[in-house]
Amino acid sequence: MASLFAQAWSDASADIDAEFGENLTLYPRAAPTDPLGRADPNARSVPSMERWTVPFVGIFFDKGAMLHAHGRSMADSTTRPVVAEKPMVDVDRLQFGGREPVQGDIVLRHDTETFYEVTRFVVDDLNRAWMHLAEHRAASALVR
Amino acid sequence: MSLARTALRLGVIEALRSHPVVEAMCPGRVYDSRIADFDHGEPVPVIVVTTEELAGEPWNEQNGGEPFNDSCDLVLEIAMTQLVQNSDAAFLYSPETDSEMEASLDLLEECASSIVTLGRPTPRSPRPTAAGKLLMSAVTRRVSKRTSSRFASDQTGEKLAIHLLTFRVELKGEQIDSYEIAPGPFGILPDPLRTIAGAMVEGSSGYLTCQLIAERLALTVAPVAIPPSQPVVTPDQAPGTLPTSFSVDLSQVP
Repeated sequence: MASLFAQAWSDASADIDAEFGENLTLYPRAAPTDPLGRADPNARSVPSMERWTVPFVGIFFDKGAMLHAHGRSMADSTTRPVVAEKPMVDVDRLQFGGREPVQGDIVLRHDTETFYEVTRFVVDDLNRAWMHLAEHRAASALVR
Repeated sequence: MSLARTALRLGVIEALRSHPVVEAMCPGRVYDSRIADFDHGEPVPVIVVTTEELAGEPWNEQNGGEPFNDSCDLVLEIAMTQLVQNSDAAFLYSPETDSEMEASLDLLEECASSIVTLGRPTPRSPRPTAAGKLLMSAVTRRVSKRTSSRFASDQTGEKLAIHLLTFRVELKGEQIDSYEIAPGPFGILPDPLRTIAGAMVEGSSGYLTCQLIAERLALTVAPVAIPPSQPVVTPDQAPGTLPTSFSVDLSQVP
């Protein structure tokens, strides 16, 4: 049986999404097979046959940051930093029906008509998760 | 030459996939220059192929410049987690102990080392695989150094181990004998990428990558309008007759 706190949080979670959330859509992607029938993870992705498109609600964070590209055995300051947004979405995991986003999936933010690629799906506590995104300018052609 | 690095990665990935043990343990999980982090939920083991530091002295010490005697660090990051198998997963091999996982990584490392440095699945194999032979004959001159490091963690809630295998690869360059462009769709590409591209399965990601580079490089041989270096000669209006007068444009006389 769920604890009272878990039950209270579950109710609050829906309220927070209703108050701060916005509409997004997840387009699951998968690696295609090459002409020999082998999975080709280095090719351009194709729509997944095992997971389906899911509209969902999430709280979008888009805070700017100064970031460095990382190199092995090198200080971060070896290359100059990039100033960019670091888009993330705080989501309720139950919206995905057990088939959660994975790296490479595409997310559409309806408010701005911007497409993103999922780079990380980091599970938080109490059925929430952080979806880290990277802007994907060519994605609109992939999902339409 | 940096396109030799592209050839090295494409050649190594095909060579790894031609190894029966690697293909059985990592089907569709040999990545080229993957940037994304490892995900705890993704199938394992995973191999990420990258080319990193490249350095070379010019073959002609006096004149310098191209061609260079390039050596490149080829890095294979072989990662594995101990996962509890569920009904959706189709893992061919799921180690249950730390010892088994370490042995699996050692096995993959052994196979990778053999196919990348010899072109053969094992040192005892009598023949190289087709992709291994191509890698040996077209891309690499020799592998002069190998290092392997181990990293492990259980802080993510799952046991993760990574073997970082680094090969110092001396690369083949291109012997340029003429300005002629080789025939075929990849004729514009410099060797060894041209040879590797020709062996790629048409429609595969490696083939499409080579096609993309060839299309860009074709811009270097596109015809351009060159202004004439000689005076423009107007055709003789009455051929067979002597001119009654002529004029010389003094500005064109040297």
